[in-house]
Amino acid sequence: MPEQSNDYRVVVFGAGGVGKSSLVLRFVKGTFRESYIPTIEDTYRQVITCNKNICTLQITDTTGSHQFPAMQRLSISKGHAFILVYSITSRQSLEELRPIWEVIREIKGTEEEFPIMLVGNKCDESDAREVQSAMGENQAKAWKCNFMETSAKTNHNVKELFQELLNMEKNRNMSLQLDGKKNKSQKGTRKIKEKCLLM
Amino acid sequence: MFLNSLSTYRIDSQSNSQDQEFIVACKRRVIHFVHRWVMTIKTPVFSSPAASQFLQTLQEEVAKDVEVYGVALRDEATLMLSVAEALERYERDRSTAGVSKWKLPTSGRPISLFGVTSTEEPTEPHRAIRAQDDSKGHGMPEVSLCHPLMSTSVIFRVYCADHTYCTLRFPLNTTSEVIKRSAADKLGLRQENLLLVELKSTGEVVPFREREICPPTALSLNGRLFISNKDHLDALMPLSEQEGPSEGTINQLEMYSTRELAYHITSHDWDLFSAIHEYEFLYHVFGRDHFGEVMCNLDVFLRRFNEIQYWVVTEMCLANALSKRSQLLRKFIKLAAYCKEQQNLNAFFAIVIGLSNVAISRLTQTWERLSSRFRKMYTEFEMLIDPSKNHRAYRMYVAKLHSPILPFTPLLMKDMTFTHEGNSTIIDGLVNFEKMHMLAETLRTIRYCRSRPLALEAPPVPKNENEIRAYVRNLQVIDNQRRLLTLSQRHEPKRP
Repeated sequence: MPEQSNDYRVVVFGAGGVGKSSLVLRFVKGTFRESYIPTIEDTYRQVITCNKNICTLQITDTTGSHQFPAMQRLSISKGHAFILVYSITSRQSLEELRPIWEVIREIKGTEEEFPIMLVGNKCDESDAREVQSAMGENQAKAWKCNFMETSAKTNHNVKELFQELLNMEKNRNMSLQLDGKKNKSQKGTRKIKEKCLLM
Repeated sequence: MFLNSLSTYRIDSQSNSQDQEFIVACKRRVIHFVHRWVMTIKTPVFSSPAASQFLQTLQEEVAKDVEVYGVALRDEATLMLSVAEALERYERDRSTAGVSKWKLPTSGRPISLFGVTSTEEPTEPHRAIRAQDDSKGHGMPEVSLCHPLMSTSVIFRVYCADHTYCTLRFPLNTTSEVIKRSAADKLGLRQENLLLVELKSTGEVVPFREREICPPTALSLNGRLFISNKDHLDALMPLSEQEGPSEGTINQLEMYSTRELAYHITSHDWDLFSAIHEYEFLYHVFGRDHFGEVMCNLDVFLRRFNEIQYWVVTEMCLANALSKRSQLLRKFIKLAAYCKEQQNLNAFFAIVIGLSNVAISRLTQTWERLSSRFRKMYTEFEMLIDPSKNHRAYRMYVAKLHSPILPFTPLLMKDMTFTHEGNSTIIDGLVNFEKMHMLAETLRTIRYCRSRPLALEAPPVPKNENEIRAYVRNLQVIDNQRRLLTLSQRHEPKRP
């Protein structure tokens, strides 16, 4: 179990093309597929409340690291919670999550409970659907994790996904809401953060 | 793009009403742009028939226009002339030197990559691409040079479910489909429903798409190429050799000085790193089936990262006695320190990530024997590889270093993949230049890392020089995490 720090680290996994980055972008920036620079660390951060304190939600997008088991292992060992993303338009993308789930279990052990969400993204593309919701749900049950379908494109269930993930954490009490205010964009959060610092 | 530039250039033919100054300005802009573009990219432009055709057309038109517009276009005509000369030189070189695939300025000197008997210092990359020769592996891709007029070929094995195999030799840029057909032919299999797949040591099957280039160098460490009917993939069983070694090399390692070991690792890694053409990064990021171009040097270098990492885990897991194991642990931490000092951050990461593998990190008794000095060193290393804030610690650290650097390449690949997947290449029919700039930024980092030659201080008293050199080029590993864990648990069983 990683040390209880001021950061809460969420790691996002999924095969190429399932929309991991879009999902993270949609959540962090509120936009879909805008020009994106990967090396600016702030892009991944979001301020949340944790045990009535301010804490940083850190999202590690593993895009591009699928060929490097080492990088995945590194992210897993430092992560607190995990999001496993597949595309509902590709059965293959769901199947490709299995080895990752196994690695997470192996590194994190089975004694400790840690939040995992299985996410079927691209649920706006219902015409091309290959994975039925029930199938995702069953898989989630087998893996003892929660399940949700999202669309980064239409912003369906994106914020809900992260909130649900935080709710699953039993060791801390966390929320995306800051002082009951909605946390709409990064600019907004920064303002709120400043206010909190003043207090 | 060619059409656009040409039609802009021919602005005078469309509208006669424009005043001359405007026309000349347009023509100048086109010529300046083309000149810069060609001089920046060089070889890939020249090797594209469409591009060289365009350059010739443009040059002819400029020559004609000089007569019409006179002095106004004189400088531009000179620019075009230098472009034409460069093109000519390229074609002359190609006809004398055979297939010169790439030329790459490393440490100021151009080097050619494959199968060329060039006078310009081609030895290093040859050694790089040959690195795997040493393994004399069974089915390990063996890359060798052939006649200079043919491009480099790769020799490898393709296995069937019953572990019979055929040995094939193909040019590096061969697609998976061609290999599949040829293997089926040799092995007497019926062509329908066949797939060419990688079978990993864990039993995991990864199919190759038909248009993917050079599957043999894309394999994981102990992965092998198999051919099988689509419906019988589940029946594939790994070869016993895929398991990796059953005995460690600790006796050898004990004899080698850590400093010497680090020296040879870094020299070898540098050779591999230098042999990569910048474009290979792009080919890799856009997908093996996208450009149809070879990216084997990058494959080999990326593989090297995993090789070092699993070598560390394997050696630790194969060291049976507790005292030996903690000695080895100390050696690896020292090795990481040397690599860091030599700015071989790729190997540094590989070693530290190897040591943080759960099969090693769970060996509490082994770690307990470590002196506080080593423990402190390792904690510092762990902070440097910490992935949080998108590897902030490492990025800050590496930004302060001067070339030559062997960067932590998986992160560069990750950045580029991220940029690629997060931004569309074409928006409303126009090339997304912002994305190209971002990709170029990473390529520039790589260029900077290699902008100066490696000048390592050789170990003062070299012992077993040749032996160590051969050793670091031929690391034998177990890459099956389950097997590593089992070994680890046998050494130090879980406490109830």
